[in-house]
Amino acid sequence: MASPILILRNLYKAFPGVQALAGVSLDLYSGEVHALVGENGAGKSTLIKIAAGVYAPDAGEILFEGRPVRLEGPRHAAALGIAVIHQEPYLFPTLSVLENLFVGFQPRHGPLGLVDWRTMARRAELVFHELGISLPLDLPAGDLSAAQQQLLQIARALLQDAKVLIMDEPTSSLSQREVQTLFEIVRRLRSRGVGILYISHRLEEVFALADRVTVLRDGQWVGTYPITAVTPETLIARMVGRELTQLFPHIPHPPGEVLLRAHNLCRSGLFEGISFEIRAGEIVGMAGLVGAGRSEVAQAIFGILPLDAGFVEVNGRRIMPRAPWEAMAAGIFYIPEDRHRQGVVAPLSVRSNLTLAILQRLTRFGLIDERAERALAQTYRERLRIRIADLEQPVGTLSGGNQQKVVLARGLATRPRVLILDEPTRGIDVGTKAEIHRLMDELAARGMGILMISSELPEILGMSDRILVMRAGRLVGELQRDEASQERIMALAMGLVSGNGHSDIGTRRESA
Amino acid sequence: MKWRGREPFLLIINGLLMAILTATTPFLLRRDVAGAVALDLSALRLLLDNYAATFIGAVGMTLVILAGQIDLSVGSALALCAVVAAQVSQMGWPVPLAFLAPILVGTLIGLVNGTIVAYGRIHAILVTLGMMTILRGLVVHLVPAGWVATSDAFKAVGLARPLGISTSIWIAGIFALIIALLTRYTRWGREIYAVGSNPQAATIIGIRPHRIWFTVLLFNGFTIGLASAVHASRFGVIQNNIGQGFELLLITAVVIGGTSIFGGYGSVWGTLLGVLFLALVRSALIYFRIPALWEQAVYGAFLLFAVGLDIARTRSWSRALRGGAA
Repeated sequence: MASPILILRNLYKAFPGVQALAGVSLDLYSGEVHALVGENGAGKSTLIKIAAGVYAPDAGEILFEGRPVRLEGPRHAAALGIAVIHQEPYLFPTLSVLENLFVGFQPRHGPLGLVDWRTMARRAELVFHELGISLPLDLPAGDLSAAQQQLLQIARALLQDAKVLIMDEPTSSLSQREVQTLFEIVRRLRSRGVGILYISHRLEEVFALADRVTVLRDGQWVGTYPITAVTPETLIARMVGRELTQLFPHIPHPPGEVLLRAHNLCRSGLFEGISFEIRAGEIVGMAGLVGAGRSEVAQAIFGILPLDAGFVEVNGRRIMPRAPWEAMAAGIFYIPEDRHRQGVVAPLSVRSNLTLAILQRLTRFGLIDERAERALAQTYRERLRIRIADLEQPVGTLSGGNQQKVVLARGLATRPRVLILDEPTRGIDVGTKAEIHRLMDELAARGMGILMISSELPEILGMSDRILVMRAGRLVGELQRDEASQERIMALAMGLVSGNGHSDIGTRRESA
Repeated sequence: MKWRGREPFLLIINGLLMAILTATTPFLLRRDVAGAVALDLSALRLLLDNYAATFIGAVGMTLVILAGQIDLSVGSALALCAVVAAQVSQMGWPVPLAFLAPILVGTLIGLVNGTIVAYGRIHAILVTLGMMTILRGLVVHLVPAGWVATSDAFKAVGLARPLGISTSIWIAGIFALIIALLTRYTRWGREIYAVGSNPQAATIIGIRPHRIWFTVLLFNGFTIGLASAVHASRFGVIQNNIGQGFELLLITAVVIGGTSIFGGYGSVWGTLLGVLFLALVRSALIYFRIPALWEQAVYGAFLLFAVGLDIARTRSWSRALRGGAA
């Protein structure tokens, strides 16, 4: 067999606080579809960004066509023949299809090097013909459907003579029929000798397309297997097969009355048919892959995203929250995932951030009672052990963990009965993480109902009394604490089994 | 390819405006004492002459806006460059120097704007707003009398009419033509569009947005130098308040011409039609004896209308590209 066209050897890459890749290797042959699978945060994105020249690895080697290369940037990678189809298309919405196909490498002619529009149109039609597709060349790319934008990117890659095509979740926004068209094209490219690195959360696609599959877990290479040598079950076992060594402080207690009941929540394009309940003293974990719609459900309950259908019942009262203050009035508080964008007000002091949500309560005759405010802030500072020199310190100067505590304290200050935490410990040091977990346990013990969205399976398993699993905008399963395992959650999240427990991938594979 | 832009529509509107003016006022047709109707192009010619500097400036502003930036310093820069042109013309040096000096000064201003915006990473609105104030102050300082005169030799060039068309229109026309071709047929031109449309995507492809932003602001400085030379060469006297509101006039013309205020979409042709439209509207206001203070209000209304159309268009595009960009 010929030698691989692209070899990634022993790559390392660290970001502040995370070792994203630790010794990952992968080889890709011409004319093969090589699937890359792993959980959220396994290092897939980092790996493809290194292959695309976006990041430089801290250590390790890249060989292209047998020769070691140092990728200087995306343009260099593209010039070599490595093209990336990004999950969210990087397009120029105001520019025509023709122009999008050629931005950055327009053919030029004449002594002045003028852009050759006629050649561009001719070559575009040739590639469209080859792919068996058709797009209007003069339409602005912003007017194209998601599927058409995907095709435009593939055509662009071919125009750059891509020998390696990296496809990152290419089907995430396509309909079933569009997926079939895409598969057809991928197979066509493979028979043309293009090496395709295919990243997907959907195992049925991996089994329908791939020749080989590489599994990553927590930034490490687990293995590369011929697709015939693995089954969906063994793949999942390898994706999650870490040992659970971390200790979690949660002690389950018998749940109390129902605090919040979600009834058939629906928001078109994001999620539908979501029903569940949260009881007093209960921590409910919500698991699922990125993009499954977990944060969106939480935001809908908190009134940030309007619901198309369904309602929320709090203490027996039906509400359809249209704004966060309505949800807060009903006793719900939501702490978002993205601290920087949705959480803290960085230039304001810790004190002001803590009391931002409850200023009304602290106001006497239209003026803020500063003494009460300070006392309250001090209480929460001690209770959550927020490490600061002074309450007047701007929040932006604190560490990530302390910022998260400030956000948490602000939520608690509203005295919610139901607290929704979206990735509460992402990007936080181990010590603070443990403190936040301890606090969650304490809150639950006092009768608060907690919904915790997390992409970390050990955290989900360690902290939850009950686990809801979402996949592609739907609730696909509910597991009790004692019946849950990493494998079962992943199998649900990846659509390997349906909620009632039996595998449905066999039928899918035949239809695919 | 069929036209998708606003240019054909603007052509029709401008034609209609001209037709209305011709029918109701002595704009193009003049009756002599005997009652015979004669074609008289002098009013149109004067209109174009008066707007030559605006045409030039609007072309530069088009590139700036296409790249997703803005330049508010153009009015003050025009004033400073015009003052420089007038003073150099009085020094008895060869006349071409009186054209070159303001271009040099303008390019320097563009260099400073571009450097601070692109490499100091400060928003163009702030940088050019500051520049606008500084330059206006400089003009007032340089011209304590409130005005400077230009030399007769300089003016003679500005008022000359080779082949029956004034120097100003020649310069404006050739300049616009070159830039229009530049935007379509050079890599620089296409990259301006790409960066204005989606800077993240441009970066991924290997274009350096900051380099483009630097060059368009630099080039806009050059453009304003040229515009001010053209402007100054037509007048005997330069007052220290010239160019006030020029930035707004240019932005209005560019946006009416169909260029998106968010960048990435539009054309030089559209801008030229936009300037012509504003010029015709102004003529109409004068012919119909509508008080001058209404002019600003009318321009403002057109600007808001054009921006409204722009926002509607941009929203439909970014909806299609959910999450991806824009």
